[in-house]
Amino acid sequence: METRFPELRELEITVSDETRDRQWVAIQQAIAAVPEVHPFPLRRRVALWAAAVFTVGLPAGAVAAEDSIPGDLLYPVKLAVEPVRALFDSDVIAVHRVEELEEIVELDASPAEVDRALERADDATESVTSPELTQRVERVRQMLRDRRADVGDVTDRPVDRQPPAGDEAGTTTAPEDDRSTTTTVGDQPATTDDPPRDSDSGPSTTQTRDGTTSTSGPRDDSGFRDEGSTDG
Amino acid sequence: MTTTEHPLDRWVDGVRRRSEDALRAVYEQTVDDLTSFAYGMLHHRPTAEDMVQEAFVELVRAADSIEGSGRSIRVWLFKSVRFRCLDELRRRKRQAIPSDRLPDGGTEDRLYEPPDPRLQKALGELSSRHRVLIVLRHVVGLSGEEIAEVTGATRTAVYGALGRAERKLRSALDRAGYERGDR
Repeated sequence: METRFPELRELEITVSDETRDRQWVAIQQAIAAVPEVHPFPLRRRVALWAAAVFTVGLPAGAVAAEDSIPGDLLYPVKLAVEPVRALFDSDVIAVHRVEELEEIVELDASPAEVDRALERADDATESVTSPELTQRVERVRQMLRDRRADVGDVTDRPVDRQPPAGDEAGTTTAPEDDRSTTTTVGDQPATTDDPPRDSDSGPSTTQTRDGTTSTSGPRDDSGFRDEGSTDG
Repeated sequence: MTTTEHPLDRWVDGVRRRSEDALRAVYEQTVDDLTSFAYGMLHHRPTAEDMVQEAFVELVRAADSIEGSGRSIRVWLFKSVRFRCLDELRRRKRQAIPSDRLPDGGTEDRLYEPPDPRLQKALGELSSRHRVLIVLRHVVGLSGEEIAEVTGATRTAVYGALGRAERKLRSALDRAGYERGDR
């Protein structure tokens, strides 16, 4: 290059191979140190995750929890979603309790668990509009009576008997029945998800809303399946 | 020059993606000029090399914000080296470090012959801004337009200041004992 200042030529540098290698290592380290670039900034990623959880994850979890019964991992999810669903279907809680009762009985759960499920179903169906639900509860109760009668167990709690106050385990043992094989407190730990006992709520009776009394019979598998969920 | 394809144009996308091949190509095509520029500013080769290395590391970090053509990358690198060199000169001035002394942080294993003392003296008489113009124009060979982009000045201002710088340098070289045509 022609220049008016040839004196400056000694400032022209050709970097040595050693320097090139050293500098290139530093550049490669800089490349490796660059953090992974996200397409969205952190706040937006958090917002997207929250939206995904509430629009996809929670409904998906709620669907998965639909068939859960007390003791299942997703049962708390089912309970958490119920108040929202009850806005659209006032009987959904009662339906769930009845279904859980039927499931628990079918699974041949412990008497204590059955009794707790019965209490929950009684409480839930107390104010339902559908007589079918109370009929289903009664069918289960009759089934239990029959089952216990078959094995000589006469400890089934009468339908019109209130459990002793303060009995949080929901034992079905009649205080005066010494032959009770039902479990008492301590046999099955009370689960934290048990709904609180309403001491004023009488046990559900065989009386239905229309005054009829249900009789024993096979479980109606075509029962209340349509949850009528409208919560999207 | 402004209408023809720049040698670095084909590497622009790769640089943005921090491709090693692209960055290596840019490095190889610019490292000598950048080091010459830094050396012309600082008169200390190890420090000049450090400045250039830091400029490339900064390019890697800022790669995804690079816009424009290959020429833009070259201008970006010269700007980065210029800022670093001016900072170093200010630091030396504050600490009263003569340019012929090894600055703090230098390494013994990179010993080079310093520039001719007469040259150092002559360039030392220029302001840092004039020195930038002289080195970019007469050592690196940048055009007036490129110098304007590197310095952030208008082309007119660059040519005007460059003329004044050249006259000053010539006088300084004469006083330093250079004869016309000395190398």
